[in-house]
Amino acid sequence: MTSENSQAGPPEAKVGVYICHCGGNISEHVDVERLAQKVAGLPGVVVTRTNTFMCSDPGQELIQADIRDGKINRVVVASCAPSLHELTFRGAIQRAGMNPFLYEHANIREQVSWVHHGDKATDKASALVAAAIAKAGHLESLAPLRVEARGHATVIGGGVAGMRAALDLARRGIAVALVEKSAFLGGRTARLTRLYPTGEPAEAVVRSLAEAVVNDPRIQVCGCTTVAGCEGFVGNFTLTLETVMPSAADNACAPGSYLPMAGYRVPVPDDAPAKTTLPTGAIVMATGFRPYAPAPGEYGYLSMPEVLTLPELLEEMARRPATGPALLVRGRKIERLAFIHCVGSRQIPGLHEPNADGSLNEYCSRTCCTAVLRAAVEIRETYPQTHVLDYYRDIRTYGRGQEEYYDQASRRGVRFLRFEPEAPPLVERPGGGSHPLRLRVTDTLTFGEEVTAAVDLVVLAVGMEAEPIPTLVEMMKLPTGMDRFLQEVHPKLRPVELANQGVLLAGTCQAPMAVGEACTAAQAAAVKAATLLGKGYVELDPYVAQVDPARCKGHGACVQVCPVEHAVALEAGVARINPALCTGCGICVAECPEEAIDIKGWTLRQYEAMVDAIVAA
Amino acid sequence: MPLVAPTVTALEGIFVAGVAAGPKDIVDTIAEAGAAAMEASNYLSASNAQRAAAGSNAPAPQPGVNT
Repeated sequence: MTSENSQAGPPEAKVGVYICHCGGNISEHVDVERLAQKVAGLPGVVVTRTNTFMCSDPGQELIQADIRDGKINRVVVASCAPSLHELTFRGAIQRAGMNPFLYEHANIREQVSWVHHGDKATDKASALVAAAIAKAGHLESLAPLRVEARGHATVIGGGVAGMRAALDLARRGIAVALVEKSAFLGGRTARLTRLYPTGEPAEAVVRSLAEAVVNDPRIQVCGCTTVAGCEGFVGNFTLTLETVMPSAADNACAPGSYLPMAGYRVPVPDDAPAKTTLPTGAIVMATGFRPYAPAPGEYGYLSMPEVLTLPELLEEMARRPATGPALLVRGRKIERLAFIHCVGSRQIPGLHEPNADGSLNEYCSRTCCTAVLRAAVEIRETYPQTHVLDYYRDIRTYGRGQEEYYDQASRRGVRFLRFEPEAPPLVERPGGGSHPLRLRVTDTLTFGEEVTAAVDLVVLAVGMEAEPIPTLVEMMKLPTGMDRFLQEVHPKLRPVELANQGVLLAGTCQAPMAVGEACTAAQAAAVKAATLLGKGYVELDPYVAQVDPARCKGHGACVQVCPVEHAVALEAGVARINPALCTGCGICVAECPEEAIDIKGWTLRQYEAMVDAIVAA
Repeated sequence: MPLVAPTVTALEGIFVAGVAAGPKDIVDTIAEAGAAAMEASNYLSASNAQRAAAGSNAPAPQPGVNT
């Protein structure tokens, strides 16, 4: 539908209104045509159009054609949440030659059609669109803020993701500091033996990355170092680094050598200053994960010495290579070994014991199924006298080359038993008999048969938890999810970016990942950081405070209430904003007794116009 | 495909991203697209640098961790 209003409003504002059906998401609850008719007569509106998908190319072209024809100089799109498509439409407007800030977005999907139905939905949509139109009449052209960016990035964490990101940034010509709290590069990967799906030895992977990192003149490796302070903003951060001397245990391994189950020892100069400041342009978070630590007594862990976690078993196997046809663990011959899946993953409220802080690991840790099956296949191939039982809830060998491990395990005689989360296997120590432990389970593969098995070792496939980094989270105000991993801006559209501009995510600090996935994420983070810093400047949204010097009387109330240090200061009796630091929160606007401050793009006058329009609607 | 550079293929100068390299969800696909862009741009700048240093027709360097 299209309507053109001959009764245009004030000559400066010619508003085009574009209403999206969202393929039925909106139009099944909001009467889009009636909405268009209602708003077509509002002051300033010259064009009203509707489209099945306004975000599609034909939808965007409708807007661009009206701009090119000189019909409109303000755009209002009524569609989904602005977090999804505000930038899409601003981009379309800019490509048509108009200032992209002469744009206002009305959310009639999440705020209307997904929560209201019938006439009420259409009425609310009308009010929101009317408010957007009223605001659009008061919009002014804005220019993004441009600040200089240092050609330097800092990667926090020296595991595979951190090393991968550092190497890629260096290859793009960016100087990199790689900050690692321990004396070793390699992180958790260095504590693995072989990596799926390629079967490469973990040591070879860690070594080749670490040697490339250490030998790259553009990468400064800071071992035994933590980030103790972070100030500034995208392009211009200043970090405070604290370095300690390597411990006596660290010094048992010479710099440049590889210590199994620890990683590649990095040199730490004897004269390394304890505290340094580091100016940097972007920060890549690669702080990694830690394995879930089962609660004492969970499946007999800690209370029975024959119960280990998978990382503990791998370490045992790495330290004592095969000598005979049966696996030996801590001097005991293992004839029957049982794996239990989903320990510390996929926890269910009311069923599983929460962590100390009350949280539950409700997510799937992704890697444990394939890791168990890879280990099971290795055990069956290396130790033909060791039999393997596999107690699982579901097998999720989701990626390329992973299902083959399941297939191989089946063919090599691994016995699978499937349990419901309500009835996990019971680990008991019956006393007597040839095997110290007994597992009892209701096996759903045999339609609920009670299966009892005597075993020598129980191995728990523990999930991943985010490595706790409370100091960094607090200091850098990093967003975390309910699962305690760092939270990206948008899981689909911007998977490696944080809401904090200039801070990127690499690897398992964000979610459980395998080594290959962590490297992919690290490269994606590096490409984002390199793009950000490559131009030598960064552009920021101009939605920051501005002071009208004619009205400011220098009360200083804004300085008192501003939550960001140095974002506003009094200079010669007048408040001055540092736009690169101002977050546009608007607290100073509310506090100023002279109404001398406005947030660009969200001025008091614009708010008043919106409120008037809602009241009139 | 090396484990630490999953978008590199056996064919020099050809990189792979998304479900072309196996089933995966949108999140992993978008991340992999970023990784492939990184490999491709590094490949181009390394090739250019090597050509500039060695005159014309020098072979492009192998992508991966050692360049």
